[in-house]
Amino acid sequence: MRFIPSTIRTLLKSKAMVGGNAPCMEVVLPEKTVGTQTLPVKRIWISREEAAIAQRAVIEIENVNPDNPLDPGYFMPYRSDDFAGQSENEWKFQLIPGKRICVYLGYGTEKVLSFYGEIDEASFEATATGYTISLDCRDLGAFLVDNLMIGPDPEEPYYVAFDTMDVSDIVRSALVAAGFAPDAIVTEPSGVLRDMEFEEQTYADLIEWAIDATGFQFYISEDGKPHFIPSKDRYPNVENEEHVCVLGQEVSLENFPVASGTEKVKRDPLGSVVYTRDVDYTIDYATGKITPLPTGNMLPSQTFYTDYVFAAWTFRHGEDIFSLTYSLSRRNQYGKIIVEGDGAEGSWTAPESYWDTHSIPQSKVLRTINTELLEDAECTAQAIKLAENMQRRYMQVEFAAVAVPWLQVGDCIQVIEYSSTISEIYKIVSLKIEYSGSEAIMTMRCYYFGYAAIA
Amino acid sequence: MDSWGTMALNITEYSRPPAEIFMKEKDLLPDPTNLLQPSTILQGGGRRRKRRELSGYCTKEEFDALEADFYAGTSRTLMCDDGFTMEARIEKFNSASRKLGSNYVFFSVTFIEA
Repeated sequence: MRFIPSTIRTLLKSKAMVGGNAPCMEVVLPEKTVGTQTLPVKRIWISREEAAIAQRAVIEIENVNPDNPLDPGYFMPYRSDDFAGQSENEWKFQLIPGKRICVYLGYGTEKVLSFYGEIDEASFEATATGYTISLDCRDLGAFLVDNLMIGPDPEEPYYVAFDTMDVSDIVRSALVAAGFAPDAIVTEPSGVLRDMEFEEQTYADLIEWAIDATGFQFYISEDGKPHFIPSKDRYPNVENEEHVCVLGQEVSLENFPVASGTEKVKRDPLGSVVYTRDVDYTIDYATGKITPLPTGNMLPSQTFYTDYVFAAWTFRHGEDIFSLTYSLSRRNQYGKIIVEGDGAEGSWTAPESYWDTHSIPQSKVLRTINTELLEDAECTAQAIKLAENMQRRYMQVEFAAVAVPWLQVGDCIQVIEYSSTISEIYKIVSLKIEYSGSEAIMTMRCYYFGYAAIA
Repeated sequence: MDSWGTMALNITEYSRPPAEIFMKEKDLLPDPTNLLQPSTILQGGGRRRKRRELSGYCTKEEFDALEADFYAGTSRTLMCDDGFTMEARIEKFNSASRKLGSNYVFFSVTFIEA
């Protein structure tokens, strides 16, 4: 989650992003040395998917000299004086495949880096009514998807072996080999030790294997940095927020709404004593207020510590939602999940019926194989994790809203809409942002994360 | 005095529509508990180019020069007698007619900000 400036928070709920606060966009070529002119961008689409290793952006540019409307083709990479009236300019060999591209989106003067990648394809369209360049770009994940791993042996160039080490270290060394700067790579130790051989496989294949082996997630952030980290780290979550306990007096958490049941109120940062809701304290999830109870065990005048998950943004009818589709689907729901490991097996079984009375027969079975798992308990843990993810996807919402380019895939948000009666916290699995000079729209697909009260 | 570059324009009618601004009104899902408030979003900034629509007359030779500027997309300084000045091109001729026996062309022309 990225910090959303308070001025933007106020603006986006004002229903009027006009004049000096209008949607703004900028495309920059970071490797271009001469920078006297900015690209006249007409429209930008950015697409980010949870499951995709490489994310995509399409940029449309007006291909006419900004200072002379009678001079088309101004941004062509091959422009020269071969045609009368044309001459070479600073855009020579710039808008071509492989060139780095940064996209900044925002409102007024507040912009945020929303895409960092390379041009895959540049199309130059000329019609009787106009000249347009379309740049189809992918982020740096494209390199991982497109390229085979290269090993040290020239006899077997596509054979790569890793000695026993933490899977995160395997991912890190592969990312360095793929060309990422070591200080740009974000990993955390997984605690899972493996040795592995790959032959004629891409970097993306290695990452898929590492995700299976650890349950970690991989993504490349908007600023181009690869992350291989535990899944929970992408929620907007807070750890060890400090407050002083005054019995009977409410304190305000720094972020809200809080996802129901995610709070942990602790006596010390390590959580050696965890307080109990409605015994030691009460909490208002919508407003993020905690009240220590005089009848509970919290220590007056002492600092207490809180962990919690909160919604990065609240989308609400009448404020910023254009359209919404709420879905309940049993299509990818199973009554039983079996995980087969290497000589081990574990399973999870669905309850006979769920809270809304829907049920999935146990004869609808999902069987997965993960040879990285060696113990029954590991297989069972993975089956339970798969079940948690599956159950959350029973309720999904897809909606179009005022664009908040600070939001990221993996963030939790709250969605409140009257007709569908939804008011819960959802996790973003895909984002499509569309920007032009006069509108900024974001379409999101999200799955249920947890209950949250309506403020 | 109205002029186009160094050419004096004999203007009989002058129209100065404000430039269109970029603004879109998009419908929101309404809040049924608060229907008195607008359920739309306004987004947009910037403007289209300024225009001036002038009607007047000039000699046939002057009109030939105006027409040449039109086809070449030439930009010149447009000065109007209300003090308005802009670098402009001729966007279109709305009408241009010359009566039998007269050397004057009566025209209506739209100038657009260069």
